[in-house]
Amino acid sequence: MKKSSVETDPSYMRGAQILCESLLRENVDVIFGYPGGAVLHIYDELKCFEGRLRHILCRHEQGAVHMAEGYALATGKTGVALATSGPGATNTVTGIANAFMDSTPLVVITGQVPRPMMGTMAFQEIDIAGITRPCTKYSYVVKEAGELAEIVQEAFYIARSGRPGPVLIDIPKDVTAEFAHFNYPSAVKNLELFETIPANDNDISNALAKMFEAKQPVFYVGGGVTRSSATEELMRLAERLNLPVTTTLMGLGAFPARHPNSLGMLGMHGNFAANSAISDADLIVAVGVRFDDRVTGNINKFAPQAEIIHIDVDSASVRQNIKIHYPITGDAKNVLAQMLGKLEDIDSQSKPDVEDWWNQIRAWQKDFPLRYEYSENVIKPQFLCQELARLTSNDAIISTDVGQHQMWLAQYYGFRRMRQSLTSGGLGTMGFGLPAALGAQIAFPDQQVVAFVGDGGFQMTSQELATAVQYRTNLKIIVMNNNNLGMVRQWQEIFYDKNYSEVDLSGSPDFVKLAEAYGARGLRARHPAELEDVLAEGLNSSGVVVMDICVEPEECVFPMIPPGAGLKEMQLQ
Amino acid sequence: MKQTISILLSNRFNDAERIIGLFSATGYKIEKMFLTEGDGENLSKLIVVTDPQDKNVVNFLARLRQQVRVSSVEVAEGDGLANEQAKFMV
Repeated sequence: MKKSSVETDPSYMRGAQILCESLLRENVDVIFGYPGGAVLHIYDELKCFEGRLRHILCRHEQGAVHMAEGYALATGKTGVALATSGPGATNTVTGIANAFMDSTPLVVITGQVPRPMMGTMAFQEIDIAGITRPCTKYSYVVKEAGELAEIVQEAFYIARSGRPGPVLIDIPKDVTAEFAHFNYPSAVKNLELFETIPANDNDISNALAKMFEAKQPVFYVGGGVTRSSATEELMRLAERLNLPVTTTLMGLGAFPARHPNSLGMLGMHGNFAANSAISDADLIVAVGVRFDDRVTGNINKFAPQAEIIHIDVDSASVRQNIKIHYPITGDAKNVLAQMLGKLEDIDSQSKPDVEDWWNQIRAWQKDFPLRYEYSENVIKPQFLCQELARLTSNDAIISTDVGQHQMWLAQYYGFRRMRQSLTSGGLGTMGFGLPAALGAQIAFPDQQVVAFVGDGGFQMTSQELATAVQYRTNLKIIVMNNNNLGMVRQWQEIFYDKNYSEVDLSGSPDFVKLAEAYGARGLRARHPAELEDVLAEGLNSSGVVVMDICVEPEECVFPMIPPGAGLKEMQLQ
Repeated sequence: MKQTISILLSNRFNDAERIIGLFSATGYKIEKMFLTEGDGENLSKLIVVTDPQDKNVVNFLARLRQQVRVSSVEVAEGDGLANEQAKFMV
């Protein structure tokens, strides 16, 4: 093409514009990012895309990725984060690893030094594709502007298909300045597509037959149900067969906690009834789970009498940690729908004979409910969670970090629906909660979104308060403040003979003043009698509010499965 | 017992490194390795000899097969690297 005609061809554009146009084709509406030298062309271009591509300026690239995760978890869409080369890129690693562990669809775009300088240890150069190789589904180093559109399309496809996860696109600065023709492909072409093949019909029939024969069956469901939006199918199946359902931490809300068939969460800090049901089950129907060690306890003691049906989209997860009797590889929604379809041919009055099993489960629930000792003098963390649930009608979108507060919220909040609980399950990332909640709040500005964090995790990403204030959000932050690294302290109390080592956080700042310094509102409750008023005022105010809730520092999370023990060996206090 | 794992994958930038990294990330020591052109356009063939010991090979092979731009994965008992290499030494 002659230069004059090229200059007038609207499809001939620089790489930065090709990137932005491609993101629009993938229905991206928000990017969480932080500028720097290697992405200056992209930021120059973003200015031209105002109104079409919203950019949220974070205060740290880790915060940007956690926000993109929170956005993805709350919406079910693919989150997008943008960072510059070098330290900007390395700061994204924790978020990328978190998304990898929790199967969160994410596209992370990093700048890179110009192509001629790559490999010379140039200023702010780092091999981010190499660093993130073990914690991404795939990574690209873009070699020319002409391939950028196809790469963006593939990246989004890979991020959301099969078992979702993060994809990295590393773009050298000179590629974003290079001109090429923009032609967004109509479909992914140079990639073997992930096939959603229906599960084998005989496998479905066989699994259903086992569910009808079982005397003590239980559903064990996790994040895979949420990722494939299979809640409705799961509820219909559980109700039709009258089977109990226990959820993992990642599965909170995938089955409503207040549903009569719900046993609540299982695992290290799971309910007595849930862990007992799994331990005594003769059939476990595992859906979208991976038999994580925090769920199973000692794997050799896990469900010794049970046959296991394992439904998962990830063929490499099935049979990974435990012997599976009936593996079914497939998308949870599709497989459960196939089961429901088969049930239409069976008399609707025909159900598994599980009356005795339910009597046993109800007895466990009655005899060993979650319990704590209420205090009139100090706020118990469990009481805080119950009050938060009551005042938000169990309906807020809530994020957490990792630790005691995460477990208590999981036990006591009573999540009603999928995508309501945003938590760091696999990686267990302190500092996830605040930015993840902000990502969800950006996606749903009119919904009640709460970051429920500990005083340790809060201080790892509290700088994102500035982001929350700058964009005039209504984000609410509840700091469950026990002046300690609570879960580490709990382990030191129980397993290290109370040899408390480096868990004292009493040098933390005044969180009310910190909030005010950021232009947010700060409230504090020290006494149980103050709690309701502080929570109600904070939750019902507009703007960003930090609620510093001072709780009993020596409270421990129970039930607890000690490390190496089986689910039956729960410590109740 | 040693196993020889042959992987056909794309020869794009970063692809072979990703697969090689998966061995160590999942606890498989690479004892011998050979990377060459594969049968087909833009394909590489990666041959790795490893000793899985008591590890769950079935799942590892499934993990390899599901990697982006991996076309096929074959496994053979024993150290077959010399035989595989010989095919390319024409």
